[in-house]
Amino acid sequence: MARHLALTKAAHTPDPSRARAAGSRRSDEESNHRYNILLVDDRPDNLSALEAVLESPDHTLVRATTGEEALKCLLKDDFALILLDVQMPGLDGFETARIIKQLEKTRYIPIIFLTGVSTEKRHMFQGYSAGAVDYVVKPFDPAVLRSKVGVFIDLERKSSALKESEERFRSAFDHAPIGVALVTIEGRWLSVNRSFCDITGYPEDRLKFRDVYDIVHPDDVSRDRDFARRMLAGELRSYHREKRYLHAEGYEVYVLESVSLVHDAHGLPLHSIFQIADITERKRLEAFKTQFIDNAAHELRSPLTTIAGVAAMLTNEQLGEEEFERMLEALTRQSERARELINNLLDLSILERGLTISLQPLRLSSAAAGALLVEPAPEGATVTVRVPDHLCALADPLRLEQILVNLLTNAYRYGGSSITLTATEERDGIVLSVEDDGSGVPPSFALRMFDPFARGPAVGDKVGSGLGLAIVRQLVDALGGTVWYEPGVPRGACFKVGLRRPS
Amino acid sequence: MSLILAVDDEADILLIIGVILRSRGHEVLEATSGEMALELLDRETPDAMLLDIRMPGIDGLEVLERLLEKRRLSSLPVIMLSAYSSPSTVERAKELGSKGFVTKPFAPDQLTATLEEVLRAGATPAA
Repeated sequence: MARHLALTKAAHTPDPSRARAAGSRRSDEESNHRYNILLVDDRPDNLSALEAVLESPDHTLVRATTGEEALKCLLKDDFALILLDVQMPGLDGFETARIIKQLEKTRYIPIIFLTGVSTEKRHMFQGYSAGAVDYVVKPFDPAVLRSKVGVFIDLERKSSALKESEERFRSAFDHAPIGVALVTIEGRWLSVNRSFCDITGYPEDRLKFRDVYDIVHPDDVSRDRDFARRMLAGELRSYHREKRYLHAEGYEVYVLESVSLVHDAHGLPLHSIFQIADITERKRLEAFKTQFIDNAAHELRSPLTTIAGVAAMLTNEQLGEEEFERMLEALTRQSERARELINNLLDLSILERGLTISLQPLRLSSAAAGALLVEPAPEGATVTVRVPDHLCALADPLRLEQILVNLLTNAYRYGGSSITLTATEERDGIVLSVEDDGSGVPPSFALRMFDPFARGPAVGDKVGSGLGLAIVRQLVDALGGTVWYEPGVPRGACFKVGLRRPS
Repeated sequence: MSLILAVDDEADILLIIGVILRSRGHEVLEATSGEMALELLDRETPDAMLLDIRMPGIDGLEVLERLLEKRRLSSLPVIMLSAYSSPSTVERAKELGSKGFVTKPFAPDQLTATLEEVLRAGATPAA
């Protein structure tokens, strides 16, 4: 049986999980790490002699009396060094060493062979070929043995420090929030980190050794090649550019890419490092903003066309009485439209920057009454309110009022003459709906009507800013609710707002 | 005096175009959609058309495309009206055979000058 020699009270029983954890400890702690040395000899008195010589607080000595037992110990714990007697019954030292060299867990543990037999050259050679790194002949000189063991333990300490630093670097590479890749001079992926795989959608094994340009957007390849050529020629130290990769699922991914070249000690290029940040979302927002500004400009020019035209023609003497009246009406209508558009643009810009929302339980009957006070039904239209008196939802009073006002305004403008404002308690929360009996919303428009500046077919001479529903959606989002459209029953349009119930 | 077809989905803009053109002695036909413009062109033969680009349903460019199919454009000069158009839209309108471009908001003189130039150019070869 292997017997752990606890040399001091503080000596710990080697535990593989703790030994592995030591790999991630800082190196100042590493210097206090106690290494295990396995002593293998079939004769207990020899083992005792070894223990007497090697006893030290720096390491723990573990003994085994057969090759089999030694292998069991090696598989159970981590060892820094093995002292292995050559001549043993059963599995002898050479055979044991061969097995040790075949096992993944143990193949790199240095072995010092102990032998009482004369150091015949052939014999020594056999030892080295079995994986020995050193040889000690019995009877051994204690000082020599101690110093040899000291050298190996020191080597082990250094190599584990190196391994640790390598692991630390590897982990920084693996967990970096930006995509990092090493690329051969010939332009093949050598190593990529997790973020890189996430951004491009490819696992590392599908990229490794493949041509970099296989996953670059075809329109960006020639410029990439040009940069790479200039960098290899020494014209560029590094370069940064926006480019597109093709995601594994086929869509384009916009990235900001920095590429630099790594040189060896002689100044020859070794490989290049690619760093990429995913800017697809930023690109999408930029495109959205450009479109938004185009639309806003367009929307402002339309009322201005009438206003400027009327201003220029009002003094025209040929103008008839009726035409004059119609132009004044148009002037009022379009000034009002421009004013509304500008107000809505400001509302939306405040919304995009984020609102201060104070969520509180609100009585929906008072919210409905408030909204109707601000936006009463126009002549010829009626609003029926079906809101249970006690029903409450979690909302912000001002925001909810604005939501209802916008939905009512839409119903007055584009819906029929009979409008119903309803609130009901559903399984998932509270649902408010504004329904009219007009002509409803064409399916093609229903899909995009919550987008800014989306506008349906003209209804009479009523023109809105195209922003009302976009504002409703932003407001409902801010309240943590949802808004959607359903065709009215049996006709008309029905807008529904789902809100949370007070907890 | 000429007969002009004005197409715009906004009634107030049609009103102002009407006032401007009539003050210069033209007669004006009005259409509030691409569909309505195409229908009118089956019955009427105006001397020129003012055509808004951005309209719901059949838009200005599509009206041009349909007229091209019917080979009606050679005899009908078209001026595009637009509040905002990307260069590619302007280019496309030219390819489709439009003869002029007026940006909203426009000054009355600007509109009539472009229209009268187009009418003169259209009248010359026929004369």
